[in-house]
Amino acid sequence: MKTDVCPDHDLLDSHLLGKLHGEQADSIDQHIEICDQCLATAQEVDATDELTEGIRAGKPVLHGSENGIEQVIERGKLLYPQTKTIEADETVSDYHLPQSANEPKAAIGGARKNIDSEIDFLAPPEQPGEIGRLGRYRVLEWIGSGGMGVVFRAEDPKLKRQIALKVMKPVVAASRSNKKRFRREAQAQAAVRHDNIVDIYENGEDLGIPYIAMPFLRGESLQTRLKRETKLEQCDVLKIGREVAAGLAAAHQHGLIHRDIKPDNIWIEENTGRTKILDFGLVRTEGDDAGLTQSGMAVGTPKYMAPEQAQGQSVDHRCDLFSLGSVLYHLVTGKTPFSGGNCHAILRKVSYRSLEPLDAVCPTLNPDFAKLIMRLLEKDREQRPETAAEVVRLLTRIESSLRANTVQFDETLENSATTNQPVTPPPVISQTAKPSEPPTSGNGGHDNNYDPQPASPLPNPVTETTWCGIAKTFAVMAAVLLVPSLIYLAGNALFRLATPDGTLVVSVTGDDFVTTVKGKKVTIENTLTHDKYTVDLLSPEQTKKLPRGEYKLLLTVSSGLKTRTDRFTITGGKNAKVEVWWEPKATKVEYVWPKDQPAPAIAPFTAEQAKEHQTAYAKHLGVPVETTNSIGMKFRVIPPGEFRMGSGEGEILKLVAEAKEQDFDNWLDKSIPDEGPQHKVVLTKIFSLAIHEVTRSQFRRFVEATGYKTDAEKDKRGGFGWKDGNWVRDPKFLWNTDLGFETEQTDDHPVVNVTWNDSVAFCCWLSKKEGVTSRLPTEAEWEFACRAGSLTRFSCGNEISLLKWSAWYTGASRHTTNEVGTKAANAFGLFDMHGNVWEWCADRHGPYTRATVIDPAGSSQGEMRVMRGGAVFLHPTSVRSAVRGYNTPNSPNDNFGFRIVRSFQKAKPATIPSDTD
Amino acid sequence: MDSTSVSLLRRLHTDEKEIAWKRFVELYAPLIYHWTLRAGLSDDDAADCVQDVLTLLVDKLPTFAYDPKKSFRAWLRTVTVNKCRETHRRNATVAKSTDPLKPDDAVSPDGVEGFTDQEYQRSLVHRALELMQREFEPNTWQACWKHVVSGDSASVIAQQLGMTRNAVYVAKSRVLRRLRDELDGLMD
Repeated sequence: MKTDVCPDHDLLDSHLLGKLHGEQADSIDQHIEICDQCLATAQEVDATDELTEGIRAGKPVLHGSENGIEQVIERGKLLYPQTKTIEADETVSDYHLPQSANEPKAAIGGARKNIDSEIDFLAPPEQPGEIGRLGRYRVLEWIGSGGMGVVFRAEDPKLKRQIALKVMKPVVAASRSNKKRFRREAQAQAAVRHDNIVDIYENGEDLGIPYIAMPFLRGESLQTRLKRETKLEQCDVLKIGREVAAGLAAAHQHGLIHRDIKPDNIWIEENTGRTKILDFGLVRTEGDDAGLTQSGMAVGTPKYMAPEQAQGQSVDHRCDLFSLGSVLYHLVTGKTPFSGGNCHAILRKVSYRSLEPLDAVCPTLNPDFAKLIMRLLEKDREQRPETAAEVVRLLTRIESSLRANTVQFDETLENSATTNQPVTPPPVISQTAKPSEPPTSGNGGHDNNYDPQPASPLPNPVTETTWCGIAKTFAVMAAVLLVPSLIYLAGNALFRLATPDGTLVVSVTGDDFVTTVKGKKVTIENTLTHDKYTVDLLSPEQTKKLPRGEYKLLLTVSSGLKTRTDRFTITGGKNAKVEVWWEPKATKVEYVWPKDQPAPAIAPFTAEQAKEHQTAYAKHLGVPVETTNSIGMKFRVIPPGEFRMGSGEGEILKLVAEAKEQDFDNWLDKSIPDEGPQHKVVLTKIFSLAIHEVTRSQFRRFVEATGYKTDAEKDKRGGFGWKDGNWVRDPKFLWNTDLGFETEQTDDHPVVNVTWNDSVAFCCWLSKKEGVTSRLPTEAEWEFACRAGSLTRFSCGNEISLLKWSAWYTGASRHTTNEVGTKAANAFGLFDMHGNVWEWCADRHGPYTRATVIDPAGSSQGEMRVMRGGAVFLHPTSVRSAVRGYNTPNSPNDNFGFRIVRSFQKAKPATIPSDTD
Repeated sequence: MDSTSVSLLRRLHTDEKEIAWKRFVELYAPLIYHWTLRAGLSDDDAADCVQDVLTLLVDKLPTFAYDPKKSFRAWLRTVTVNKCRETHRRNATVAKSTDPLKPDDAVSPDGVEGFTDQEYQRSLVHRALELMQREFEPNTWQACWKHVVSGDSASVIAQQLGMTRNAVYVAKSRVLRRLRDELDGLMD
C-alpha cells in the first residue's frame, strides 16, 4: 500500500531513524522513493538519535583476543539445543526414550506407585513369593530401575539359582530400533567371557519385552562403597583398576566400547572381592557410528566421560580408558576429577579444563600410579595409554613394585633376626607411664598419619659438602619398620637402604634408636615427657637412648629426608611403621667451561654443527679430525660437551608398552626402565673414538703379539654360535672360528665371542704398545658419541625407515653379523653405533641418578658391565641410542664385541668444580 | 524486503530458536567476555564465566522476553557480575588454601560496573551491524553507513553509489529499522 500523503517533518524524522514499523513504514518507503517534496524535507530533518550517534561514535574496543572471542562464541553455540537437565552422575543415554521413560529415578517415598507401573507388564505370579513371571523366570523382587530398564531379582526354576533379570521397559521396547539394539548389545556382551565382566546367562524376549538374565551378584557397587568410605586405599584402587582394565581389555578385544565406566557400574563381589563391570547399556561396537546414535549428542555419565564423549564426537575404546582414569582419580582422592556445578559445567570442564595434578591433590600416592592416572585423563586420546591391556600391565608393574618393596624389607628383617643375633627375650623396661598397655589408638605408632606435620626447623644447617652426596640420590621411598618385638636385636640394622650416594640405616639396639645418615639430623621427641632425642648425623654413627613410649619423629625438611609418619611407638606387641624417604634437593651442578678452548658441543646440535665441533677441537689440538693408530684403526675426534643421557619418563612408558605389545626379548624389556631417569651429563674431556667396532683382523694382531687366550678359550664351554640350526654354546665357537652364521666371517667382521675382560686386555696391550692410552669408552661417552647431538631414538631420528640406512638390525631370530662400516655413519662419522654387535663399555652397570653428572664413570658396585648399541638380531627398539645392555665381564657371545677410545696426549686436564653448590 | 522483522528475543521462541540462539551468542559472547576479562578474570576463567552466563541465559531467556518491565541490560550485567564474583570467590578460596600470604585482592567486579550504558549500546549496535550486514544489499548497507557514519550528504552518496537521493534515505531507514527490530528489548 502506497500513501500519497507526505509524512510531516517529525514523522519523516522518525521514519528515517527506522523507528516506524510494519505497513506504515513500508508505505512511507514507497512514497519517499518517488516524492521530491519528501526528499526536500528529508534533507532538512536531522534524523539523528542515540542509535545513529552510537554508530557514528565507532565501535568500542573490547577486551579479548580474536582467538578467545571465537572460542567463547563456538562454545556458547554448543549450548543449544539444551541438554536435558540431568545430574552429572547420571547416565545420558542415546536410546530414543519417550518423555515418561526418562524421568529421574523414583524417590524412595513415591517408589511404590512407580514400581507397580514397572512390573505390570510381567505375567502374573504363579507361586507365593513371586511378584510375577517373565520367560521361564520367577521374578522375586524389584531391585531398581533406570531410564530404559528395570532390574529384578529372579529365580531360574530349572537350575534353582538366583539371577538378576534386566528387563527393558515396555515404553522403551515399543521402539523397534531400541529393541534391536538392546538385543545386539546383549549378544555382544555375551560374547565376552571374562572374570571382570558380568556374565550373561540368557538373552531373551517374552511378551514382547527383551530381557537379559545375569548372575545375581552379592556384594556392592563401587558407588555404594565410595559413599561409605569416601576414598579407598591405594592397594585396593590398584587392584580394582587392574581388574576393570582387564575387563575392558577383553571387551575392547571384541570390539566393544562400554562408554559408561563409573563407580555405579563397577561391582565388588562379596566373597571373592573380584571386580565386575556391569551395565553394558551404552555399549558400542567399535566403528559402528551409524544409525543408532544422534550425532553430536553427549552419551555417557558427565562426571566420568571423556572429552570426546562430552563433545559428542565419535569415540573409540580410549574413551573407556579416560573414564577408568576418572574412576581411579575418584577412588584415590575422594572426588571426581571434574566436579562442581551442573551437568553443563562438568561437560565443559571435562573438555576444556586442565586437571589439578594428582601429586598435588594426593601426595601420598605412588608417583608412577599418579602418573598413570593422569595419562588416562589426557584430553587428547592420543596421549592416553593406547590400550586397556597396556594399563593392566602398568598397574601390575606398580603393584608388584610396591610388593617388592615390602618383601625386601621383610627380608632385611629376617636377615637381621637370623644371622647376627643371639635370641634373647625382649627386654621389658618400664620407662613411661603405662608401658604394658598397647599404644593408644589414633596416635599410635602404627597409625599412618598422613597429615604431614611441619617438621620443626632444626638449628643445625647441614653443610652442603656433606649433604651433596646424598642430594644426588634419586628419590627413594622406603618403609622403615620399627618392630618392637625385634628390639632385642641389639646392634643390628633393622633397615638399611643403600644408594650410590649414601646409606640410610635405621636400627634398634636394645632400646636405642640408631640412625645413620651422613650429614643428617633426626630428632625424636617423646610425646609424653617431651624429651627430645636428637640424632646428630654429622658423625658417621650416633646412638641415643630411646625408652619405650610414644615418639614424634622430626626430620629436617630442608635436607631432603622426609617422613609422613611423624609418630611411632616403641612398645611390645605392636608394629610401628615409619616411612622415610629422600627427596633429591635441586642441585645445580654447573660446569664452567674453560674459555681457552672451542665452544663445547651442547646437545642438541645438527650434523653440520657436530662436524664443526670436531673440526674446531681437532684444530685446537693440532691434529686431524680423523687419525689412524699403529694397527690401522681409524679414530675421530669427539668434542667435549653436554647432553641428556637416557630416556625421559614418557618415552620409557611408551617403550615399555611398545615392547610388551610386540613381545620383544624379555631381558631387554626389563632393562628399559634402566634408561631413566634422564639426566644431564657433562663430558669435559676431548677424546677420539674408533669409527668401527674392533675387527677380527685387529684382534688377531693382539693375539699374535701376546698369545692371549680369550675367556671363551679358557672356559671349556667356549662361546656361542649356530650349530645345526640351533644357537648354542660350544667350545668350537671362538673369536677366530666360524660361527655358523649365514655368511662367512671375514677379517673385517667385528670380533665377537670376546668378553669385557678380553676387551680390556686388548686395550692394555695397545696402550702399552703405543704409549698412548687406549680404553673402552664410558657408557656416557658412548651415548654422547652415538647421539652426536640428536635427542631422538636413533642418531638418524625416530624413524625406523631411516634407521635401515645406518644400522644392522633384523628382529629375526637367526642372525649374522656384518662387516664393519657397511652402513652409513652418524654425524660424528662413526659406523655401526646402532646394531651389528653389542659394544662393551668400561662402566659397571648401575642406576642413573636424576642429578647432573660430570664425566660419569659408572657405578662403583656390581658385577655387571655395560654393553651398548644393541645387536644385529634385535628389533629397532633395542638398538636405540639410550638402550643399556649389560652382562658379566666374562660372558662371551657371538653378538658381543667392542670399540675403543684413544686418548690425546695433549688433552688438557679439565677444571672440575668443587663438589658444592 | 521483509519489513515485519521479528526481534531476536522473540525469535528465541519460534521454530528458528536454534538459529536465533546462535545469533544471540554471536552478538553477546564478545561483550560478556569483555566484561569478565575486565573483572580481572584470567582468560580461561573468563571464557568459562561467559559460558556460565550463557548457560543461564539459555534457560532464562524464554521467561525474560515476556517481561518488558525488566531492563535486559541491567539483568545481564547483574548475572555477569555475580558469575564473576563466584569465580573470584572460588579462586580466592583455592589461593587461600595453598598460599595464606596471597592477598584477597583479585576481586574487582568494578570492571563490570564501570562499563557504561552507552558503551553497552554501542558495542551491541556495532556488533549487530557487523552480523547483519550480509542481510542487506551492499548498496543499501553502504548508503546507510555512509549517511550515518561519514555524514555525507544524500547527493554525494547517491552519486557514489549510483542511486537516487530518495533511495539513500530509504536505505538508511530500512537498515536502521531492521537494526532496531533486531535489538528490540535488548537495548534497555
